[in-house]
This record gives sequence, C-alpha cells and structure tokens, in this order.
Amino acid sequence: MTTAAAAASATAAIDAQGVSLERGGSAVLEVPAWFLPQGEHVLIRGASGSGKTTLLHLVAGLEPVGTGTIRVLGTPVSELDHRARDRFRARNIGLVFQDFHLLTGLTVEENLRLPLWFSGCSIGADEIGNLLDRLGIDGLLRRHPHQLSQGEKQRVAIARAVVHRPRLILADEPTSALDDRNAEGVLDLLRAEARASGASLVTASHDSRLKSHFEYHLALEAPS
Amino acid sequence: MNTFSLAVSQLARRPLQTALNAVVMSLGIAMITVLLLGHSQFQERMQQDGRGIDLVVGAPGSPMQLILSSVYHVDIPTGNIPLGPAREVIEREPAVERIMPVALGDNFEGYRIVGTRPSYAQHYGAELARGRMWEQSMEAVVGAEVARETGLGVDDSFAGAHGLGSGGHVHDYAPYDVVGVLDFSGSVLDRLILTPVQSVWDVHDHDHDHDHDHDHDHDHDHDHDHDHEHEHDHDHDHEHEHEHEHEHEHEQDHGDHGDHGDHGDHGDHGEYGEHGHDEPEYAAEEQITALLVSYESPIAAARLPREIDENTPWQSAEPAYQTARLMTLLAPARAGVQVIGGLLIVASLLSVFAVLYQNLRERRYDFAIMRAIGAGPAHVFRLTLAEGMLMVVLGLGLGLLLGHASIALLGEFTAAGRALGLNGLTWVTEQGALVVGVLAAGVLIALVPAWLASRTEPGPTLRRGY
Ligand SMILES: Nc1ncnc2c1ncn2[C@@H]1O[C@H](COP(=O)(O)OP(=O)(O)OP(=O)(O)O)[C@@H](O)[C@H]1O
Ligand SMILES: [Mg+2]
Repeated sequence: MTTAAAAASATAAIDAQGVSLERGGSAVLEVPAWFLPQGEHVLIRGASGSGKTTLLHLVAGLEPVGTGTIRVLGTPVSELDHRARDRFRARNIGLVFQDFHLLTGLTVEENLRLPLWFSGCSIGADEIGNLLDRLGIDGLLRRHPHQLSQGEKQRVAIARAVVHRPRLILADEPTSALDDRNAEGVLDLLRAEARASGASLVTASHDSRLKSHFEYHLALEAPS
Repeated sequence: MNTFSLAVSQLARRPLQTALNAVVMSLGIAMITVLLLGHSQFQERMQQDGRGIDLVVGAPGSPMQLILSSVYHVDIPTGNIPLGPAREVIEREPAVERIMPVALGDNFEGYRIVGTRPSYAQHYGAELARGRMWEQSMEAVVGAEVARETGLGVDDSFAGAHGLGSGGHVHDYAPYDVVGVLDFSGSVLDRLILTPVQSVWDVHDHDHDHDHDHDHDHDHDHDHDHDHEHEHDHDHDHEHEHEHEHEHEHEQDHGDHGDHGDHGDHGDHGEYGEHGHDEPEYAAEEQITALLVSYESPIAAARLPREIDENTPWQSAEPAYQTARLMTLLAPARAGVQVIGGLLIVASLLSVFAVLYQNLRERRYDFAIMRAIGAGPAHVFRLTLAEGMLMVVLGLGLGLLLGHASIALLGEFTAAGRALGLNGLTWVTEQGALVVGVLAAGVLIALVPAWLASRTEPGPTLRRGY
C-alpha cells in the first residue's frame, strides 16, 4: 500500500473488513470487505432480506457489530460503546428512511432543528436558508407533517438528513415507494445535497431503476 | 430548541388530553389551595380580631354566637344586657384592665353600626385617617373599608337601617354625622361604623317616638333627651315588648329598652355618655349587646367567668376557647375537602402516568427515529420526563391560579368573604409543601415511562418499520 493509499484509507468514508452478524442463531449478514472513498456515492443492492438495512444500521452505529471491524470516516465504530456511537452518529451521519418518517408532533422547522440540537453543532442561518431554498421548502417551516404533500415530506426528510452537514449520508430505500419520476427526483436531490456538502452517500435499495445512477455498487446476498 | 420547547410542542399536538389532565389536576389543587388560604386567613383574622379580648359578657345563649356577634361581627347577638349592672359586676374584679361596650342593632349598607367607646378603636390600634373621634351622640367614625365602599366621608351624614344586614327599616329621621374616618387597621374595625353607645340608644328612642307619633322635638340635644327617653319608654312599655319578641326570631335586638320596666335614674352614662351630669352612673334600661373584657392578669380568668355565669343572669364566653372550638368543629369539613382535593390530584397524576405510558407504545417509532438522527437515550429520557412534568406544572399552575382567584372573588363578592377579609394575594407555607409534593410526585410518576422510553432500541424498531 502506498502512502497516498494509506492516507486515503484513513479518511475513507467506509472501510469494512470481515463483517458478519448473527441473529437468532443464523447469519443475517456477511460483508468480507467493503471500501468507499470519501465523497463517493454507493448503491447497496440486494434482495429483500439480504441485510441492506442491517448493514446501514451497523455503519450508523445503531446496532453493535458482531464480528469484523467497520471504520467510518476513520473512526472504528465497531469498537465504540453505545454512547460514543450515539455521539458519532449525531455528528457525522445523516439518515433518510424509506417512509421519510418525520416526527408528527413537531413542525417542519422543529424537525429540521432536531439534528442540530442532538449534534450540538451550530449552522449559520444563511446556510440553512440556502438549503431550504434549494429544496423549495422555505415556506413550509410552520407546518406539521400531516399538512405536507408526499413530495414535500420527502424534501423535508432530506433536509433533515443533511442540515447538520454530516460527512456521510445513509438512505434506506428512499425510492421504493415512488413512481419513476419521483424516484428520480429524490435521488437527484440526495446526490445534489451530498455533493453540495461534500458528503459521501450510501443508498440501500432493491430498486433496479437506481442501478445506472451509481458508479460504486455493493451487492449483498443473504448468507446461506 | 431544547427539551422544554420540544415537550411543549408534543403537548400542543394533543390539546384535549393535555387540557383535560390540567383541568382535573387544577381542580384538586384549587380545592386544597382555597382550603389552605381560607383556613389560614380565617385563623389569622380570628386571632387578630380576638387579640387582647379575654372575656365577653353578654346575654345568655350560645357562647359561640356571643363571640361571633360581638367580637367578630358575623353572627347575630344573643340578646342584650344592662350596661350599668354588668359593668359593676365586672369592675368588682380587680385584675380587669379594660371593659369595652358593644351595642349593636343597626347597619348602614350592610356595615354594622357599633355603639362603643373610643377605647375600642384604640384596642385595635386604629388611627384616624381623617377627621376626629366623636364627641357626642349621633356622631360616627367609619372604618376604612366602609368609607371606601360606601363613599362616606367626613361631614357626610347617613341614616342607619334597622337590623344587622343590609335592607332593614331605615331610621331616616335620625341621621348620623360622620366626623372621622379610620385608617386601614387590617382588623374588624375596617368594616364597622363606630359611634357612642348613646347614639344607638337615641336612635331607638327616636324610632319609638316616631312610630307612636309622639310629639317631641328631637334635636339630639342630650340635655333634653333623657327626659324624652324616660317618658316615652315608660308609656310604651307594652308596645316595645311586642316588638322585641317579634324581632327575636331573626335578629336579636339591641339597645331595646322596653323590656326592663325598672326605670331608674337616668343621666350620666359614665364614660359612655359624652356629657357630664351629676346623676347616678347607670340607667338600668340602657342595654347593650356585650361587654368585651381585657384582663390585666390571668388571675381574672379564674374568678370572673364563674362570677358572671353563676351569680348573674348573663353569660361569659372566652374568645380563645370558642374560636378553638370552632376550628375543631370545622375540622371534619376541612378534612373532607382535603380528601376530595387529594383524590383529584392523585387521579390526575395517574392519568399523567397513563398518558406517558401509552405514548411509549404510540411513539416508539418516533423515539427510534430520534435516536437514529442523533438523540442519545438521555434526550429521549429528558423529553418524556419534561412532557410529564409539563402536564403536572400546567395543572399545578392553573390550580394555584384558580385557588387564589377563588379566594379573591370570595373576599370581594361574598359577605362572609368580606367579613373574613379573604385576600387572594397571600401565600402560606403549606402551599409550598403542596407544590413541592405534587412536583415530586410528578417526577416519580414520569420517571418510569421516561426510563422505558430512553431504552427504545432504534435498530430493531426501525427494521420492523413500526
Ligand atoms: N432480530 C432478528 N432475528 C432474526 N433475524 C433477523 C432479526 N432482524 C433481522 N433479521 C433478519 O436479517 C435479515 C436482514 O434483514 P434486513 O432488514 O437487513 O434486510 P433488507 O435487505 O433490508 O431487506 P428489505 O429489502 O426487505 O428491507 C433478514 O433475513 C431478517 O429476517
Ligand atoms: Mg431494509
């Protein structure tokens, strides 16, 4: 390995080695080796039950890693205790869920402020203004999620995932419930926001429409 | 953004549930607040107004009624006693410091007109705000609240109405002249109109003359007055008796003269009258409601009450003992209100628990999302705790507001409340205990749901999707 490669590895978005996980006595996930350079976008493909969501959770530090090591942004999340994982996630990771789940009790503005509060980072008002502008949701701040259209919800959810400027964005099935046009739109927004903030993007999906949009791929297969 | 604002938003999402909870709790808190404030202000008023009055001598009847009517001016009198003989008996006790007469019978717009001596005002430390003390019959000094509420001021005159509540027969031909207004003393004096005992007697003499169309020239000149009094009383003995009997049913009369046929000498009323004659001291027909006695030494307590009760037709009553008895009598009612208020609070606390606990299930996915976007278990814990505490604080705040407002309204708009001088702006230490206790109970009740919420496992919950 050259010095340059070593440096790249140290700041790799994701560097997983020999990861496997067992649940209820059976293996649910096997990832021998996976490397994603910082700033790149990857699509995790695989059939239902192949472990896509599980892998995202491991990367996000939502669940402890069974065997193997995962370094995310140079940090060995597989070795952190749960508190450190929570802190790490709050600072560095932005998550988008399949149903774009927004907290129903809160306004759009409050939903967007949550990640800032949890991560303790302060983002300038102009920067937030720009983000809202780009996503076209600056007029929706006082609304509650039930007062939003499906498309508006998606854009708020994407804004919430990137508002605290995470260096890694994880999206789990962001398009599976959408028609072609909407799926394309959401994907474009995600990729644009990731690029705008220089973040890496990991999208997990069994949606074959997405295949051609990604240069990097990770194909998962359910362990036998 | 902070835990508090987030909790507020969450509660605002379910306004009905939150409001219902707050109302139930506030009712309990308000009941107990009214109880605490009412009791403490009642007790304070009792102590304040009864301070320094060791014994009350009056007509036989309920001793508590005697105390309530002549010391606290809330109940109707038990009857009348002759001033002279009663005073003589009391004065035989050397350890007596002060004797103050109280002659009731009339009111002005519901404020009692009390025939007494200046020492009565001094006893409560009342100072004149304007004007002077009375110097002769039909001059009156009005209490501060009376002046404020009725607009009476120095140089005004008014006519008393018969009876002790507002709306009786008005003695419109016997007007009082206001010569002074007392400063607020925080005592019963604020709500009284003071006048020499002689006024009360004169008004009622006058009344009879008027009723029976006697053709006397009434000018309140005391030099003449006594003659009229005598003549008239004597002639109409019968008539008076009748009136007295009649009145007995609702309101004891005052300064009624017909009862005692023994028309001795009239004349100087000693320190009670405002003019000097050289005639013997008391007139037996000069009746008053009660004599308030202050002891110089507690030795008097061992002798005077027994002397009165055993050797005279009157009765004696000790304010300290009677008020203590009253408190004991009221204790079960207080306990009842306390229990109901307490049950309401407990019910509302349980309902706070139920709401939080139900939230655990309904909002598990929300909690998981929060954890996924960066919340630590502590955030979730604090948020749930804050929601619970906010519900408790809402109920508590609303309840205190309601309680204090009730006391203030009672003090403003009810006769009993005014008499007790109820004031919504006071705070008693027991309320502090109530607040701390309810808050502590709120914390305890929110702790378990908060802990359970903080243990939400985001991974499995998100994977399941609900
Ligand atoms: N607690 C558990 N006990 C046993 N097996 C589990 C548990 N949780 C997950 N699994 C299994 O792990 C496997 C991977 O699940 P995961 O949700 O990661 O799949 P996925 O690729 O995201 O599927 P999908 O496309 O349907 O979302 C599945 O076979 C699932 O049954
Ligand atoms: Mg999945």
